[in-house]
Amino acid sequence: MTKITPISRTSITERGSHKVHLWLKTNSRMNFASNGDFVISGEEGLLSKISEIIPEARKTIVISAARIDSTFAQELVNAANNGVRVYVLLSSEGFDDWLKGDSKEMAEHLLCRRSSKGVPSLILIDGETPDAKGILMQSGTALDRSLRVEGTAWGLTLNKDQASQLAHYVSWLFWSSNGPRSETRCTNHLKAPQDNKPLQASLIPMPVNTEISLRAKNEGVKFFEGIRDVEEFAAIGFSAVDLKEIGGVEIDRRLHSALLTSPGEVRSGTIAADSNATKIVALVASEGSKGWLFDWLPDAKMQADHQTALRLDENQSKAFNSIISKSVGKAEWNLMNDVTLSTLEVGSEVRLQNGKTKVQIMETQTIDIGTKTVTPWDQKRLFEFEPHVNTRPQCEPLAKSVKWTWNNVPPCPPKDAKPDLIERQFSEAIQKAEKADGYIRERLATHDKKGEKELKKLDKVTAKLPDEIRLINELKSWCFALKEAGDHLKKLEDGGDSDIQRKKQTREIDIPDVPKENRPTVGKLMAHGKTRFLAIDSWGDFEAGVAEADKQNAELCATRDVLGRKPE
Amino acid sequence: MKLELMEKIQVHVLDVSMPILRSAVRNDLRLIAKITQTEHDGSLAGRNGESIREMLGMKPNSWRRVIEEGESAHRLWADNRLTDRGRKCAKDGIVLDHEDGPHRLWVIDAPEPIGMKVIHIEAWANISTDHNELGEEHTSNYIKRIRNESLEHASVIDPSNRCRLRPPSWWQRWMKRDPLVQEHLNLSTEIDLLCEWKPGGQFSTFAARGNLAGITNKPQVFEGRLDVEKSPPADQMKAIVVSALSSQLSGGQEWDDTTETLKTDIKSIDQKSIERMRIDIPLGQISDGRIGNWDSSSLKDIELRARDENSARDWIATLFWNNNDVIHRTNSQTNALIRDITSESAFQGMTFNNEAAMLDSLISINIAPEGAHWLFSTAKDLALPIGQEDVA
Repeated sequence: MTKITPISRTSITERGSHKVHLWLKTNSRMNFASNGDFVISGEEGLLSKISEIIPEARKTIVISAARIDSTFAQELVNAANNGVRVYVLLSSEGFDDWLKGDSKEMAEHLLCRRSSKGVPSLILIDGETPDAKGILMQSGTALDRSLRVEGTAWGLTLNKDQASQLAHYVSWLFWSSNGPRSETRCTNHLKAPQDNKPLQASLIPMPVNTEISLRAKNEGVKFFEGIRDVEEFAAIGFSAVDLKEIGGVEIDRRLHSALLTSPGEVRSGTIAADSNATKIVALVASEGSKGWLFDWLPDAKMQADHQTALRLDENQSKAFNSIISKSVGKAEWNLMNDVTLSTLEVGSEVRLQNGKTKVQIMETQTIDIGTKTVTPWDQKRLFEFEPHVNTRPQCEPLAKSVKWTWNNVPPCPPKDAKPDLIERQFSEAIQKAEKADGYIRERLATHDKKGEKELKKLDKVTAKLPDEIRLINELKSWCFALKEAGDHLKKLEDGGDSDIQRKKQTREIDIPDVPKENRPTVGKLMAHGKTRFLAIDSWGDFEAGVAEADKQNAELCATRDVLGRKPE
Repeated sequence: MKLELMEKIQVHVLDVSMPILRSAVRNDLRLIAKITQTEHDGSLAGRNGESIREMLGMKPNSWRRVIEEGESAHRLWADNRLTDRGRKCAKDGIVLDHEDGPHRLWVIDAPEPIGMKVIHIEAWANISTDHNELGEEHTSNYIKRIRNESLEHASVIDPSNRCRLRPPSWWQRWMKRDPLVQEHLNLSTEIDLLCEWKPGGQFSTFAARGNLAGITNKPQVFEGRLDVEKSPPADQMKAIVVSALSSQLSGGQEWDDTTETLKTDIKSIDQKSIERMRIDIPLGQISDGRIGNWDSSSLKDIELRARDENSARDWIATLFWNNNDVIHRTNSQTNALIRDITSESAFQGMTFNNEAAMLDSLISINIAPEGAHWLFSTAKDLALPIGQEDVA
């Protein structure tokens, strides 16, 4: 008899032709280069640009920066000697460094003040005159020797309107700063800085305008004048979330190109990401007609919301447009749309389109989908059955092929299914009969030849019994033979004179009642609630099992032992 | 401005027993004077006098005796008309009346024009001191001189306590000789004699201050006016001032006789005078036949004026930095402060139109804070956010 066993199956799915959207990490890293009004740090860059602009001052030079050292000392002292008044507004830490520094000559010629608020990094020349000009630098840039290092910071040459608006803001910052030991007006003040007392006049914060805003998000369309007319944008320094909406426009649906700070989900355009992009936050029309520069104030809260914005003129916009288009191809991450999986190199660092989920590119992924119950079943279906694709688990998104493995098994009765009533009756009867059979045989063996004769009669009946008793006739003949043998044994043992002796010899023999129906011809009938199962164990019983199951109104299945067998 | 002269002088404490005219309240005389003044227009003649007598219920003899006493002894009325003394008596009822018995007198022998003065008098009965030793015999004839002068003296402690040493004729006839005078040298104190004269004043005022011993157990502090019969003329005093000043002025100072002010630059005066715009000049000892010899003298509260515009600007700058915080200011705030200063007395008659020169002075004056020029230029240079200025 061929036992029913699970069937082990495998299948391979080729995914090489699948197309995916993903962020692919490259080996390159973007670097900015000077472009028009945009100048990067370096001896020949921002450093020389600042050195050139200082002598142009006729009335005032206003510097606000995180820190200052003697890098521009000579230029500033020369300007002061020519009657130009030089004002320096520093961050709190920068002012402390100023007091400790070696800028004695500079201190004699300029007024330096500690700001109690975050200061932009900029230099304004004659800021409050019609000839205002200046350079706005990357937020947090110090006006010190670090400007000699190429690429550490950038500066943007300001137009008159921008310089004038920034002059208003920096002047407001200057007068808003109060506190003890916060101002130097000569060298001696380096050791004894003077207290800042409030100016006895009301101060006007910067009026609403289209050049500069410190509440760009709130001012919305009012500040971002003309943003709705822009068809395509180029952006740099934003996160994907930031581009969902700026100035009331869904920027990420109108992107021509964007250089994000980190990979993220964007809905249009040529997109790349680079951590260096955090240095510039700008949004420009892709044709370069207008644009906005953000986050030039070192205030984490305002930067998180991109609240500080400067409107760029056409030249500046074009410069930023050029920077973005040049940098997109050299970024750390590229967003690849509709890439064929087979073209991807195993081991590359990639992220899904959302930019956050890290995934691996795999040549083959093996997935065991476990045991699959095949219904309806027969031997052929058990060999051939494959689970439907939809029922399989998801594979790694970037697996080029997937090897599926699983075991096909026939249906089995539930774990808590119990033998059906007929099975229990047969089982109980056979159990009792076996017990009586054993007792009788044991006792008859003690009665020598008289016993042997009866034993032979009993053997003759039991020898005809099958291994598994399924028919009531077979059980009946066994029970009858047992009853006869039992009666005979009683005669032999209880035939004596004494009542006492009789009682001592033969025990009462329990001959079972015979069930009224036969058991199924094959398998074992099980029940679970109102459902009946006919469990077979070998393929030999299958055909008979089908008929018997139909007869018994039961579902044909395999025994649960099958599940524990080693698959073929 | 005023001229103050001061001299130290010893007080002689003398005890004498004799009738002395002393201020006393006489209600009968006050009543008569009061009724005469208010109801009879100062006339006691004829029916007026009769009416008063009837009103007071006095008999003719008594009335006559009182009226004679009022006229001859106290000079309250003359020719039946109320005198000034009478009008005064109508107010307070005080007249000088003879008081017999031992008295203690505090006497100074000052140079002219003060002369010999009884600066205080107490009857022994009113002296509450444990000191009961007899003094030494006084030999300087002070009492005799005072008697001879026969002037009325007022106490420097209580001006209403007045006395006059003119014993009645019956006493003089009876005593034949001067009364015994005892002096308590141990109760003698040194006091200040003061003379003050203000320009334009017709008379000088004299006063004394210090303390007097022998009234109670503790010395009594006082400061009071001294009546002087003949005050030095104003011209004399003015001449003394001018001549004393001429020796005291420095190169940067000049006395302006018309305004009676001292024109000066600020280098010649001290900080206190710069702030007060007045100066006190000590003149030292003055020996002038016209007012006598004085140990010390000084010209007080001499009004100062800036000598010229440069001096004025320096002065204004000094006051500016003395009185104002070292803070940044706008032009209008600075100008308002300067306007306030220029309205002070030292700059009367001057106009300051040159703002640049004024600013230079503010910056260049030696007491200007370091880096002072920034305090005036910054608000100009960083002016965009400065709105309507508050009045500083």
